[in-house]
Amino acid sequence: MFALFAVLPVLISSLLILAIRKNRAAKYIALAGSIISLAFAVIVFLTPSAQYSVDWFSASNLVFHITIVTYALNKILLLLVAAITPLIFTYSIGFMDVQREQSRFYTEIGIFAAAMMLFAISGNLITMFIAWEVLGITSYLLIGFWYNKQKPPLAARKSITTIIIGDIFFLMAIVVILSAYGTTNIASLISTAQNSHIQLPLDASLIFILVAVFTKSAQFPFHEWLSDAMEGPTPVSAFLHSSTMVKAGVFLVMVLLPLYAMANLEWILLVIGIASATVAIMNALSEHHIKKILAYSTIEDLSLMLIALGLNNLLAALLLFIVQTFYKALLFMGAGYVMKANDGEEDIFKVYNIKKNKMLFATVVIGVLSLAGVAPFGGFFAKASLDSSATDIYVYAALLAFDLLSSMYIFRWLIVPSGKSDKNMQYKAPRSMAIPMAILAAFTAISGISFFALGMNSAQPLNILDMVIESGLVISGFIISYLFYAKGLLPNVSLYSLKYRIMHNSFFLNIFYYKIAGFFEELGEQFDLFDHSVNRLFNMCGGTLVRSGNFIRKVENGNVNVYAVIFVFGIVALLAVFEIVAVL
Amino acid sequence: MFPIFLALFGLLVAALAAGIAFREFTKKIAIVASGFVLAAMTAVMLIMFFLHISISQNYMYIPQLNMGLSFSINPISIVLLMMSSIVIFVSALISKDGGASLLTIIFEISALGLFASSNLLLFYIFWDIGVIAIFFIINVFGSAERKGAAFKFLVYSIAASSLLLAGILLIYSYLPIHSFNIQYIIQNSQSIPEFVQWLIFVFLAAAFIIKMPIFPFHSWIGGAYTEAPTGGSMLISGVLSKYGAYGLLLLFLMMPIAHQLAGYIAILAGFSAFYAIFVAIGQIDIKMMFAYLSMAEMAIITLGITSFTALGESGALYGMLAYGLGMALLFMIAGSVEYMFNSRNISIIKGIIENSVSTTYSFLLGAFSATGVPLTAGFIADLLIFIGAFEGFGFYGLIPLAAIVLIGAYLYFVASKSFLSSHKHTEAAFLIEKKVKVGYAILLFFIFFFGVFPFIFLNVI
Repeated sequence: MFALFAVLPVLISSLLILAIRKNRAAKYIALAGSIISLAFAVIVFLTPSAQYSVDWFSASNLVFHITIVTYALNKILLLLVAAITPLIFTYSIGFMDVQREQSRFYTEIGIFAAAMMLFAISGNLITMFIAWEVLGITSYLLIGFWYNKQKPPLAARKSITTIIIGDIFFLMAIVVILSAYGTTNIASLISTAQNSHIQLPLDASLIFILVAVFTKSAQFPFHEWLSDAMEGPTPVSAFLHSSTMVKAGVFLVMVLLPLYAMANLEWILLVIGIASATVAIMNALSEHHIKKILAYSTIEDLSLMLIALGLNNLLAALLLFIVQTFYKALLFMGAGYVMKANDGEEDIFKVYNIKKNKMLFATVVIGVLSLAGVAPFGGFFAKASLDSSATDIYVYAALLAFDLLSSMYIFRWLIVPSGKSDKNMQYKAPRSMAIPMAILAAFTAISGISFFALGMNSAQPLNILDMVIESGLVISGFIISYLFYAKGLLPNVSLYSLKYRIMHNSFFLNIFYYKIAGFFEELGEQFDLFDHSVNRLFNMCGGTLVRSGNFIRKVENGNVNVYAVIFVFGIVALLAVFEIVAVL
Repeated sequence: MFPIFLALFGLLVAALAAGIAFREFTKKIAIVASGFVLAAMTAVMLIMFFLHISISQNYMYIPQLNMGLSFSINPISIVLLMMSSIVIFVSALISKDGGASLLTIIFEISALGLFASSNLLLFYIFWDIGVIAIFFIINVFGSAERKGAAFKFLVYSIAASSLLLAGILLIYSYLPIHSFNIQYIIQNSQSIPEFVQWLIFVFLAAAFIIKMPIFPFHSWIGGAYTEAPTGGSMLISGVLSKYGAYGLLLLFLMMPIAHQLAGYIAILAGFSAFYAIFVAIGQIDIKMMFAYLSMAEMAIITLGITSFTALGESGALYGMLAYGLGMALLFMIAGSVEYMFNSRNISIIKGIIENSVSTTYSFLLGAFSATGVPLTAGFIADLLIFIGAFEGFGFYGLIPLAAIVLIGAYLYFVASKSFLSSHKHTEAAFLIEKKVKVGYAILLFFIFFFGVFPFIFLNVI
């Protein structure tokens, strides 16, 4: 119950901003709320685990609860979100410098943060679903924040359309679980499922949840929305990719992992994880957009987490989950910095040299090293421990390839903009943007500690071979990138070349989606035509009645001769009928 | 306590006063009268929630034929009474014409009487009063092509009414003791011969399907929803279509044979949901689009009713509440948009957010409710309906959820195209009035209120 106090300050501050609509005060109110939330989250983190449940409503024999739990996983996610939120808000003070957008921005992002915090501490699927949907719709509003530009409304529409599919699958899972087990409480669900043998509903609902997870965490084949979502403001991207939204899907699998293990469905996680990582890496290697490369790298990180979960290695997934939060937020902030300095230029081949800005370069390098998996940083431990838990040779080979290639694309991301010497970056960002980056860089630098804090050094110690292989691959990735992009061994991949098109279309998926959307529109027109003919059919019935009325009316024309003829014929017909009846 | 008599009598006095004595104050009288009814219904709702009582009133009118005025407010009818008084109040609030306000009061008499009647004869009488009121609203106060639309509406409605009357008379004459009382019918309907039951089911189901509407008897909605004035569209989509759904709910409670025939209605409803949403995708007229969305939502409600589970039926009831409020909101928005741009074509309407922020956000929130986002009433409805459908039909019952995906995808398409976009060339003619904003606020308040506090109704049912 106390955990709710961590959610409320952010929520109340954003509602307050909505109520008073003072653009100038919005950022401070939001920041204050998020700091209070962080304080509460720290307290929650230090207090023992608890579960609190309250009846929401009941219908016939089912009772629906709102459940708040603070188990270890919940506390970690809550603390992560609460810690990132003030940093993002601080960064936004510098980044979102248009005055009249302020109150709208802080309202939406505040609700977004609150929803993620609620998601972190929710203990049953109903509560999760509430947070999940609020996350979805606020992300929709935030991605389409600059509605007066060309692309953001389309990106927002794409994301919400994908997300709504996931939402409905989540709802389906809840429906099936509720009718099969009568509860959505995750703890009791896990214990009931162990004792009972209702296979089909459990399998079905777990697969439904996986679809929801893949939409939310942007996994193949639902990953297309995430790179488009870069149209939103950069603080939103930093937030969405580091601790909120996309992490919700992975977190859901984490808390339900015992059920997946029980139902033997972990292979789906492996297959989809490897497929998504492959697609993401291909896109990241060919992409030019400074934020989209990071977006694809997020997809890959999430895939690695899902692969770790598929290998039943919860700790490795959790470690990557924690570490990724810091370095990804940091890198996005760096990307925002670069874009701000270049008047919104987003092509890494066109931006100014970032090497001259020492502070920016230093922080970004720390983030890149952690992402690539260089030795003392958190990413290294996560990747090495993930590699060592692979039992299947194919999975292991895939993981090694991902190590190499992800190091390649992220060093490409770093080397390309820092190579040119002719254009130097003059821009100095305001302190509100620099300070959160410095803090995050510090966190990223020491994030390797979480390997020991999670107790992984005793639970799953790394062996030397894995560490050496991982480091070797990362270093070769760096060398290849350096040779390709700094020394110019590989010419710039043009946006129109065949190579780019092959690497960058995610197996024609995007085109396929547009085809589907076009097909539905076409179908709509056909249905509309059909509906018109249904309409005409009913109109024709009416018309026939009118026409037959008009026809019969001609009999009553006032001409006595006609009446007499009809009268005679009538008498004859009547007599004939009587005769026939009498004979029969 | 005689809340229904009092409300009906009060409305009648208001209608007479507005129509005969104080013609210049008609709009104000309508607002006050419907506001009074809304306040009364809210009070009744709270009393019922806290005290767990039902209210019933009886007055024998023709004892020889066992006919009379009998009303009851039970946990089922209060949901619809509450919904219709909200929608009608908002409709009266934004009414632009005194005559339409007067007809709105008359329609309110019909709605209250119908949802509260515990007697099929009264049900029929109030049903027809509603049809007549709506006919005049379309015919007199509608837009350019109103005459044809109103006529078509009337033809369909008369067909529905005559089927309804035939069904009711069959029930009356085949009962051991002739009666119109719904409770009595529920208890004794198994004594009706099977063939007659079958006939009754077909008659009544056809009548209700026309009113909801469900494919294939939906041709009237195109004209009626679009040509009616804003308030009228709100009344049709919010309240009048629920006459059919409520009737179907009663039919499924009354006729035991419904157990055998429910599957057919469910298949029809499932088909109708997809049919309606695909036709909606093909529309360019914003009101036409909402009309077909409303049809899709009625089909989903029907699915809950036909599931024959307690949860499905509570869900359907809640769906009538949620979708009634939601569709009323969407039609109100369509009205404002038409007023602003003097067009209903979504390829002309662009950049609504730059003209009216409240309209845009109301639309988004309405879309959230239509797609069942939690904390809106639509979520509770969807959740319960589909739990019921899953229990009733297994995994097939979940297929219509895909229709909700399509509804959502299309609503967000419209949102990005017309609402959350910027306009370069088109200029809005007018800004919307303050009372329209108040109307949005009232509907949204209740959509969220019933989404956050569903136990007010559901714990009692």
